[in-house]
Amino acid sequence: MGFYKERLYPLVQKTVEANAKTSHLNGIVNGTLPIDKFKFQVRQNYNYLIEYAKSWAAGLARCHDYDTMSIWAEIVNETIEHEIPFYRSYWKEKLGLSVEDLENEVMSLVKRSYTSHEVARSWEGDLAEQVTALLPCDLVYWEQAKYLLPKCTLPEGNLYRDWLTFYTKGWFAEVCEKLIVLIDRLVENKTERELSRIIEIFAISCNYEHISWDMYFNTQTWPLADLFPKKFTEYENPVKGISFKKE
Amino acid sequence: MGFYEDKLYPLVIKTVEAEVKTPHLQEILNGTLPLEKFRFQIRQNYNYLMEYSKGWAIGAARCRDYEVMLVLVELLRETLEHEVPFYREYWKKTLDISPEEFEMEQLSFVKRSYTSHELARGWEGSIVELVTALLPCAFVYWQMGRKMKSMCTLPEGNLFRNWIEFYTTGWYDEACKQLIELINKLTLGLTPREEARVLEIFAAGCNYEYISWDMYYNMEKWPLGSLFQAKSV
Repeated sequence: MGFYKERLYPLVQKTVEANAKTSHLNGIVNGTLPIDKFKFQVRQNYNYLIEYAKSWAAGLARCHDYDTMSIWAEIVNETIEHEIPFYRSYWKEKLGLSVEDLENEVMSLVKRSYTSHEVARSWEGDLAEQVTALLPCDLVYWEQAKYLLPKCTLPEGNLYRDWLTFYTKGWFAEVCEKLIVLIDRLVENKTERELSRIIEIFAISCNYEHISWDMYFNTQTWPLADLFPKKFTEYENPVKGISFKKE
Repeated sequence: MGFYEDKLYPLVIKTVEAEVKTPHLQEILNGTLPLEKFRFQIRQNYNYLMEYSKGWAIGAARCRDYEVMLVLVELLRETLEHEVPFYREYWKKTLDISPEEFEMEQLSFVKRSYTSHELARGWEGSIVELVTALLPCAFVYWQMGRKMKSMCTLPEGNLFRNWIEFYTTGWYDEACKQLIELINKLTLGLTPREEARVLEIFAAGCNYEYISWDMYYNMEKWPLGSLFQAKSV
């Protein structure tokens, strides 16, 4: 048994069981979730993905050899070139959420906290700690979708069913399985003290994964929301329009 | 008038007004807060200070000029050499909290989130962003101390009164005034976009300050606390 299976997987299981009981996920499984709450979830998650990509990039900046770097570059690339553009086009089509809607969203307390945890651990720790902070995002979603999909009686083509199905697809399973191999390799030869730090980082992210669902359901942003300034989006970005892509 | 007076002070005042209404600070004011809750607050704050110090240290490492570096190193030293030892000695004496008890305490959801925000901004942003993330801690406590002292009718020597007065002493005043000077210099010439980012960082910090009081009052750690192992010291 690898480190993941032995020490982290049990935490994923507990998180999934707790998540499955939330009103938000129940509303998705039985199709009764008000669409505004789902839209809020999608807008928040879009902004989450930007920070998630930055965390992998922070790891990339700290790799020491080409081989390792290539793995991190693939993940950064996958997120920036596929997942984020997918979000922008898919949810536009399905929910009418424009890129402006996604960009204008201020990250909520929970998402800001979660991503600050990811970004802070990515800079201050080693690669194993960086990867660990990001793992629950993939692995909890994967296990959660596998757990919830059999309970879902919504017809094919239903928005919520499609969303659940998305995280049970072959390509996502493949990503998750590779991440497990990656973390098992990264923790080889670590002391128990180092491993307990890894487990703590993982447990924290699992907790953020758990509380996200109540945050979505209650569309909670910040308790003192009026302290925030108007958000600047990519539309005022001075580098907008520059591209280094080969024609 | 500088950036602090124009842009940050109004946010500090709103935060202080909201937080003095929390049951935790109300009960500190009238002396009825259960000691168990106060001890929880102190233990959490001790662990907060460790991460807060790391924030200044990151600043010192990333700074490009000697003058700013000196200020950041001073703040780091102030925290590590005075505030942390003060916590260890003073609260050992008055609340009998041992160093082991401090060390065993797991950072709660709110404190972990707050310090991750401080450290993430510290690593990823400019020096002004780094300093901004760390400012609400000093400024909100400063204004809160002043406001609460004027409202507090507890006798001299009372544990809670002493705690409030800690943030109204001359050296704390001095430190905050230095921080105002620093942020006013660092924010000169910011573009509106950079300024919005600074204000967002400050607003997030103020929110974390605000929600800390309910977290202390309810002694909240994590919703899924069973995922954590015992902390290794």
